[in-house]
Amino acid sequence: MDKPNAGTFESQVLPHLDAAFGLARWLVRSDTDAEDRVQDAYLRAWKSFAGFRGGDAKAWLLAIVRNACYTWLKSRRLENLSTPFDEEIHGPWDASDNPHARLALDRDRQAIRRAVEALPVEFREVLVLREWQGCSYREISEIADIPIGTVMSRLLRARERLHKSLARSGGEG
Amino acid sequence: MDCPRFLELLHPWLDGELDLVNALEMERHSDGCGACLAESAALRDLKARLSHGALAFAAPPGLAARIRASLPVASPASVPPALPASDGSGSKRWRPWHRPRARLGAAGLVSALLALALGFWAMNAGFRRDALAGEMVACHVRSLQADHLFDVASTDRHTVKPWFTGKLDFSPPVADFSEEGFPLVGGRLEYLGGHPVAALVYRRHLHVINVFCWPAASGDNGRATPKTLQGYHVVFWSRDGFRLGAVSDLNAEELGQFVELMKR
Ligand SMILES: [Zn+2]
Repeated sequence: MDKPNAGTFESQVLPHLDAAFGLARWLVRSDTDAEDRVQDAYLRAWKSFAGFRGGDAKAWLLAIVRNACYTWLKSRRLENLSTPFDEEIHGPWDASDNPHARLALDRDRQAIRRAVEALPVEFREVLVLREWQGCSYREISEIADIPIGTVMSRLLRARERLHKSLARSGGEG
Repeated sequence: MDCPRFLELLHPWLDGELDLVNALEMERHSDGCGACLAESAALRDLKARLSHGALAFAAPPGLAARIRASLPVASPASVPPALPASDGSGSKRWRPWHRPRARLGAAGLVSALLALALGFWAMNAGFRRDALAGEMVACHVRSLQADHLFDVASTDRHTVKPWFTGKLDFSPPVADFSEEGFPLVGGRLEYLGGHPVAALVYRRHLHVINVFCWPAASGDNGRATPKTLQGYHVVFWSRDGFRLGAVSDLNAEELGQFVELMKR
């Protein structure tokens, strides 16, 4: 019904900024990098909004965010293939990165966030989409562009790993 | 159902992906099998720890403004159609999950002429309703943008309902539909047409549903056709002396299911 214009983009795509940022943040694991990816994704979304024929604006946007993050992750992996993930630099609890987040989160949440951060990116993605955004399997399969069977097996493995690492770090859990 | 089958379906079950028949069988099996009951309790526990914002991030302040500033001035409609999706972000690859919305074209023109033909009184009522629907959509968008979905966050209607006491001179009907896949997540106070109204917040997967509720004026017949404004669906109905209106970007079919639950 609506012709795409600045107003519809504003009202349909911009409200999903928190979800977009959150997904990017979980995928690239740093606030500043996530901001850049989200800005990049919104620019891409803006450019292709004319071709967006309805359906689900949020899922459409998240798919673009996800692609922007993966493209960036791949380029970085080529740059420094041997550099392991450095929590001191990229960890979410770096005070210079976001002091408020550090103060606001209780211990259990911190343990959970660390455990989720340590998962491989493919597992983080399905887990966060399911448990934070409440996506159905079908929605995840559309956003991440993988079959539903893969969604299910990744979710299962993500939770198994998480369960183990939380039991290790948190005693009783 | 045997144990291997139970474990196979455990995650889809607790993720709400099973149909009713299978879900009932899962329940029956875990009632009589201690090992499987323990497995499901462990998964429920893990899921509970992951909820309540443990995974949430909010966009940094100022990011929305920076994004707005970075977008080209031209409206996207004037940009040539997106190239085939070689960058993986184009729209060609994207398959909408739901029926694409009808484009406003000749049909829109015809309905506009029809509305004229129906006479001014109908238009007048329609205008008022449109203005209200527009206000509701604006409220909905604001609640998402400002990260101000609720003043009281709770999935428990026994917490949400009393919260409105003293803030409103009526008590809105509050129900939870988690079982049906539309969990109540909270409530807040809103103003529509200058009057305070109750806003109840529900979720359906990715989507937020705002339900606005206020006492019905006498003579309000409560009927209004569902509308679509800026891509949001707006549905009005009445029950027990209240007028209610739901706004969401959820597809019209599922929003309709939700409204039917609310009407019960
Ligand atoms: Zn069993």
